[in-house]
Amino acid sequence: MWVLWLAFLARDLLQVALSGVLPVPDFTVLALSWLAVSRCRDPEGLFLPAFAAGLIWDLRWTAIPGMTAVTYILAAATIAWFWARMSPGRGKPVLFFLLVYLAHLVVSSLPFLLFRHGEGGFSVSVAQQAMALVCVLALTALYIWSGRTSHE
Amino acid sequence: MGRAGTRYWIFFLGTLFLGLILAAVSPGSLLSDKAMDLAGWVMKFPEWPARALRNAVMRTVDLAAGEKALRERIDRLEKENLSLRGLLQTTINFGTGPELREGHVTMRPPVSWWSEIRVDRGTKDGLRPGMGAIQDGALVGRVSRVEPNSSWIELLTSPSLYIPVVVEETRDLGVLNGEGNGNVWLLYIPAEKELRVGMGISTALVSEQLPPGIPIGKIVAAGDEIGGYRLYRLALTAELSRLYRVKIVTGGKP
Repeated sequence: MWVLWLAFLARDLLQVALSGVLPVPDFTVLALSWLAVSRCRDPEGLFLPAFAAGLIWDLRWTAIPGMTAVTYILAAATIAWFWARMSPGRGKPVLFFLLVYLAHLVVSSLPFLLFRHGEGGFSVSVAQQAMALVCVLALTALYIWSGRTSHE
Repeated sequence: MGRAGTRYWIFFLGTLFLGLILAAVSPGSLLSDKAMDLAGWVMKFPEWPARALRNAVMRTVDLAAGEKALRERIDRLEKENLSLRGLLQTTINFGTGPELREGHVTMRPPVSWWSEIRVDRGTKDGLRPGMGAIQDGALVGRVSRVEPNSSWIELLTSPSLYIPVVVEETRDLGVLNGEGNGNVWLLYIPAEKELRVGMGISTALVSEQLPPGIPIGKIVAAGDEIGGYRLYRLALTAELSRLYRVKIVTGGKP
């Protein structure tokens, strides 16, 4: 679980350091996706940490306590459910990439979609997704390298 | 459903409902404000290296661009300008005189994007409700709530903030009010007065905490006439979409 908190801290520190310079991808949801894949058979242990990470983020940055927490819980549950129902196969890295990127896209776009404004608006949101793409590619490479699947 | 399945649903639904209930009821509540201030204060410690790095990089960039001396000069002139405007336009006693205290914006909630920001200065730094906040010499809002280590500033674009202002060219008095969507209007100008696009707007004498004469913006368009008074749309001098640091005008009487 330390991966989740490390990712949370990294995102928070980068958000402070790069605020107004570069948008920071949501590392927490990336770490959560990784954990949901690796624990897809028993993901219940993820919900409380996901809730806590989301709540702290909301208290620190969004001022809507619970909003990010809910999206993190739903992302973890959805990814774990989906992954647990997939049969082992060669296409899994591609599916891993798609699932993780989709989770990031939905979770990080939610504030923009809900409020239609924010730091830099649409262009910043697009830049954030582009940076997330690099991170998800790296995470997929790590997944392939580690050979980690829930069925093996 | 086995024990593992039950456990799954308890954790999933429990955390999900708790999150949804919090998201529905907590925004704007006093408890949530206190929790946000606490979270901001606690996170200040692990965030210190990032903040120090950011400040160091900004200082280096300023230095490399030869702007450090210029910025110091601007700071000095801003302070002097505030004092002179106060002396020129009013005879009130500002106590110790206006001082500027820089604060970093630590939160700008998306749900109230055009209404408020939080800065990392509070009562310990001498801030009080009503004090003005400026960016590059132009007013951005007023301090609305103060905690020991942080403060909330209501922005000029907030629909609940009304600031008495003066049209610099004609000395007509009016009231500035935001629409909550980024637009700002000048209210209560008699319809027979013909204000022109480009005329400057600055703070009028309101209290002993907000000095008169702080630039706010310019008239960009005339609006509707309502009850014998014409509305004027304003363009703010401050860039509210790039609000990362502000200076609080401290001093004056409580």
